[in-house]
Amino acid sequence: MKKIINILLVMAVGMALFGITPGFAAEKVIRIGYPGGSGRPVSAGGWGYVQAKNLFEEEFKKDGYRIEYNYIKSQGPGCNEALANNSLDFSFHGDLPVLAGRSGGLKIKALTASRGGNAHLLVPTNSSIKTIKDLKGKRVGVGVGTWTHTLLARVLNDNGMTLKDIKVINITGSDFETAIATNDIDAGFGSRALVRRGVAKIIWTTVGKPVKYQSIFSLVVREAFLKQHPDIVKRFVKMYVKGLYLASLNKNETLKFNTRTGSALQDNIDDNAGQSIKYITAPRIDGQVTQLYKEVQLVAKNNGLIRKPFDVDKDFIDSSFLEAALKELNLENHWPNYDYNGNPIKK
Amino acid sequence: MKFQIIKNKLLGLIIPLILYVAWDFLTSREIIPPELLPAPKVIFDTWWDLQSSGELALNMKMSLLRVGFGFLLGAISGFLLGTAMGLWKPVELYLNPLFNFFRQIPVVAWIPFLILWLGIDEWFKIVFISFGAFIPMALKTLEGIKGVPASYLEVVRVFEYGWFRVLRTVIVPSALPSISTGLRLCLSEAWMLVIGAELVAAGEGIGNVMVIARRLFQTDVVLVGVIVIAITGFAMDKVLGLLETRFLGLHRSQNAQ
Amino acid sequence: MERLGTLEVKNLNKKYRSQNDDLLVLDDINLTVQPGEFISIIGSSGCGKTTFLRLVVGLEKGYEGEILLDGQRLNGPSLKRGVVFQDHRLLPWLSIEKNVGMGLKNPKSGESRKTIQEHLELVGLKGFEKHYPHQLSGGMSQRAAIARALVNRPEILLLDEPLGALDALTRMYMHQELERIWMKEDITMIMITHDVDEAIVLSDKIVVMSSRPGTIKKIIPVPLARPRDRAGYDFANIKEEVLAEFQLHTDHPFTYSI
Repeated sequence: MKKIINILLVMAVGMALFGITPGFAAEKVIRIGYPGGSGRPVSAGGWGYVQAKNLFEEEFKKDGYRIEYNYIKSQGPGCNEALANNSLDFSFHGDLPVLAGRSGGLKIKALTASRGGNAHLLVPTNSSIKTIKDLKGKRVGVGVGTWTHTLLARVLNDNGMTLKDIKVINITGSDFETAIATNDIDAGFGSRALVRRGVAKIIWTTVGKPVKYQSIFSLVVREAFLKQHPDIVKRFVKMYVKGLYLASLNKNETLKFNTRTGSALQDNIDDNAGQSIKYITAPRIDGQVTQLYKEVQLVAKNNGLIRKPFDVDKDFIDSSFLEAALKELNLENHWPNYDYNGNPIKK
Repeated sequence: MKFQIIKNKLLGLIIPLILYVAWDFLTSREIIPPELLPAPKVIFDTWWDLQSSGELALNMKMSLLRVGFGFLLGAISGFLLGTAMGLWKPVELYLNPLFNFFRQIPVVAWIPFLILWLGIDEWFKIVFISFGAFIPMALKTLEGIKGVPASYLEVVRVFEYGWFRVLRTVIVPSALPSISTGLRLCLSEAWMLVIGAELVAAGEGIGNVMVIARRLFQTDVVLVGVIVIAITGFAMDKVLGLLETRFLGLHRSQNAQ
Repeated sequence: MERLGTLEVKNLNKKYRSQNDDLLVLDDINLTVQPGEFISIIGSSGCGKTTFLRLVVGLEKGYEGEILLDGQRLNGPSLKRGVVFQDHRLLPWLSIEKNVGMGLKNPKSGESRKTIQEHLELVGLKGFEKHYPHQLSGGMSQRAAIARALVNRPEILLLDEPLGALDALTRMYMHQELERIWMKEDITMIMITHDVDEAIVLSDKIVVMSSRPGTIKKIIPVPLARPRDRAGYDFANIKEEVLAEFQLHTDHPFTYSI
């Protein structure tokens, strides 16, 4: 009797183990990855509306697909790894990780891109660091391989320094917040939430600076998945554009909606001051985005973050799904294209 | 005889060679995606790239410096403790239980505390390495001294030797092979732990090169790191092994009798 | 000057403490060894003969009664008593020359070198100075061990079955060698052995011990002229006498078997 119970126990444990192994279950699932910071595991903006309105779930219910959102704590680099080992189908992550992944041979295609993300260079409240130049020799926390890594390289380069002039500490999310609060690191890019909590102050910000300092986040898909399920990708992009459309209707509403991630409304307002809601929801990989991709790649190359640059224009961007979606939704003229400085191009 | 030795050495190369051919075959035809396992040629190019840019040398230098200091600290303290416990019964009685308790703790379990006490800079890494290096050294030294044959000690008792002459004539030479094994274990432990330490905390070093490469999706650099680590570790052990044969060779063959 | 090397053992008792009661190993041993005498102690295993030897060397502590060397009570090991163990116990990391020099205070001095050289010659190991123990045969190793024990000119040499590990032919050769060394050095020797022939060939007196507890059963003098003839009648008679102590009679004392 005891033996039978033991066997059953072993089987149960075995099944539990295999059950949670990704990719083992034969069920149909669409897996989406995001860099997961320290906030709640929900998204803002277009993704937020997609989630809140269950757009994917409704769209793919009839095919029997389950939708899985993965907030990846190791951020963009973690998304790349998950894509590489087939644990994700889509991912939405920052410029450096997308470019580094592609440069490293990751087979992904960029379907859409979002611009206008900001970051703030924080120092502990009692810190004597006032300018970028004061960072020399200091311990700067950064998520190595995330978009702020190239941003850090860029602002250091602007001030005649390189990453070698500071001590780079690889740290992300809540670890970063703790480290700033305990003075274990001297500076780093983070959100206004830390300022609000009184543990940090801002010495430099992308807000109000030329748009080249801001982030580009890209929706990427695994090439194999794209080849296997072009129809799903098409419908997926369409639903995503629908979410973006909903987000683009009213700036105040959307900024309020974005507090679902745990951010403060005033911080959202401050971060997006002077940016139109159309600008921050525009999905096209237009001239501005490709130009910024190239710039980031160059900065990354010059600072040793990308070893083998690739041709961004060639074989990386696939706008056909987005254009089809815009056409079907009758939104072809909803968002303008933007020039290098972020100004809409009049047709 | 000579032929047999060469033949035996060659036998050990067969499996690696098969693995290499399989690696080359599977990657060059992209049966294994290159982003998961880069091809040998890519690895060689990347290695050459890192080598010629001086990046590899700089980071290896940092890692080896840490290994050096951690190894010295660990080996000396381990040797002293092992010697003290081996020579003086009271020291053994007082310290051996504590030492045995300490050595049950995997070195990585100290990481949170060591970071808390020492931060994440060089001292953390060196002390972390020395913790790991200390244990085999103390154990092997103790073992070596405890293993001095009582029959030899009786011989020198009859000759009315003072403690220093006993130490010099009998205990040290007799314990040397074990101490030398301790040194080798200690060095290989130190080399493994430096990578561990660098994976945990930043700073230049071969382990850190790999952490950054991983974050930047440079699988080839990660693999170059793995290979360089393996070769370096292997080479360090070989050098110690040669030194051992050079200085203890005769002694060894006698003990084997 | 009076000759040194008189060993007197009076009413010697030795007990080993075990958990429940004491085990008597040696019971009332009385023995006097004159300077320059060769004594063999013979007895079956467990008769305490090795314990006795270790007590005399000073490696074993705690006894009742008296062990006196030239009238002085023994207290621990001393350079005055050399010892050769059954296993040669040469240190494998030292050359033969250094092994032999181990007993000297300053083995590097010119005088020491000379002494070492003399002793190597004495035991017939000239030319093997730089060899290491593993390069020597069993008999040569034992000769090196004898040289080492003699090098500081002890008053008495104790041998604990020194030839026990050697093959029969080497052994017979070593008997001659040992006798030669003993005569040349003119030293007191006490040897423990299992081998009756060996004892008769070498000894002035044979001490027969019985076991549990170890007592001296009989002391048999061997008044034969040296070198001794193993095939001789007197030899056979003495052998008969010794073997009788072990209830091992040979019916035909003339039949000698190898």
